[in-house]
Amino acid sequence: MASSTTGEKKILTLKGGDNEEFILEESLVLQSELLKNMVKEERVSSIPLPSIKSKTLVKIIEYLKKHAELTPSNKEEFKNFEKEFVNVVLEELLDITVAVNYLKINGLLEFCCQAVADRIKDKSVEAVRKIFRIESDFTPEEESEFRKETPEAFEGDLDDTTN
Amino acid sequence: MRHSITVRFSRTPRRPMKKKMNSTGRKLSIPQEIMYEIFSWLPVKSLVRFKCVTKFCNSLATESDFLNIHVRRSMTRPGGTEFFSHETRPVFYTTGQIEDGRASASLLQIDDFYYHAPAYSGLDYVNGLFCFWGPTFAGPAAIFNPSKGENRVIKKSISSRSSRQEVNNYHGGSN
Repeated sequence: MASSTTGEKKILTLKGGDNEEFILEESLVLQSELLKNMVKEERVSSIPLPSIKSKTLVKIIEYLKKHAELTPSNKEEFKNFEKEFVNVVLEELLDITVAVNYLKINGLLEFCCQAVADRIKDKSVEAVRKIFRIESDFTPEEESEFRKETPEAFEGDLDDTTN
Repeated sequence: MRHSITVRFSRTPRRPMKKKMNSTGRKLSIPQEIMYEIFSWLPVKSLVRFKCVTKFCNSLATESDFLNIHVRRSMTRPGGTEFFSHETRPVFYTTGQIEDGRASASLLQIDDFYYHAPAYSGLDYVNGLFCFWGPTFAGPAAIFNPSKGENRVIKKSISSRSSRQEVNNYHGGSN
């Protein structure tokens, strides 16, 4: 049941993957299409998000707060915050991106994807596979053909997957 | 005058999204829908480079829905390509990456070809390449590759349909 308070700010609890609880104003989570629908349709007051690490959730809530405070006068400050926001190791940035995609926070999703693209654009094919945790689904023949045709796409540091 | 390129929509269905475990089974791979979104922000050069990551990445480079999104984003993101047209000839303007806080830019122009305004109907975008053509008097059709800053003339007189074909052929040959 949703809290029956009228006039007061509604409070919502989000539960991260490791059962850590985050209590915040309902108005904040409305920026997420997923949570908005849950709150509006099912009138819930506590939402478990087992697939999202608490560390990731902390970052996203931080963003939601900043974004809610965005006004024309602090636009510059918000831009700097955004820049700092994505300045984390690549794996963490991808965790955030996956969670944001799940929560459907559209503006932030675009921004995260842009940031990931910027970080991977010069990496080798192997590094990109590692980063996205995918494996080649080409036949060994196709694979060696690629390596022969575009050897430069396979050059680069294989361990260079965290920056 | 700034000239925007007409984005064509064709109805290529998007592939169904599959989730896949990697061999270690520890961590799920990044869903394809997110890769799609990330790849739409990559420069053309990187898209071509990452064609050999997986079949899915390879398919993006020929999927018109994806390419339409990609060209729109290339026009707005920093470091993307902007397109201007001059009275009589097309001019490409690429804002380079911002390095050390300074924006570097380069102006690419197809000098060899003069087109009259009506010839602009003959402007198309396929696989990151641009193709121009017009009435015979406007000169031969040309293909321009913004990521490499190269252009190539198509010698024989061709229709718009075969221009697209030529662009595809050229694209295949340039990788």
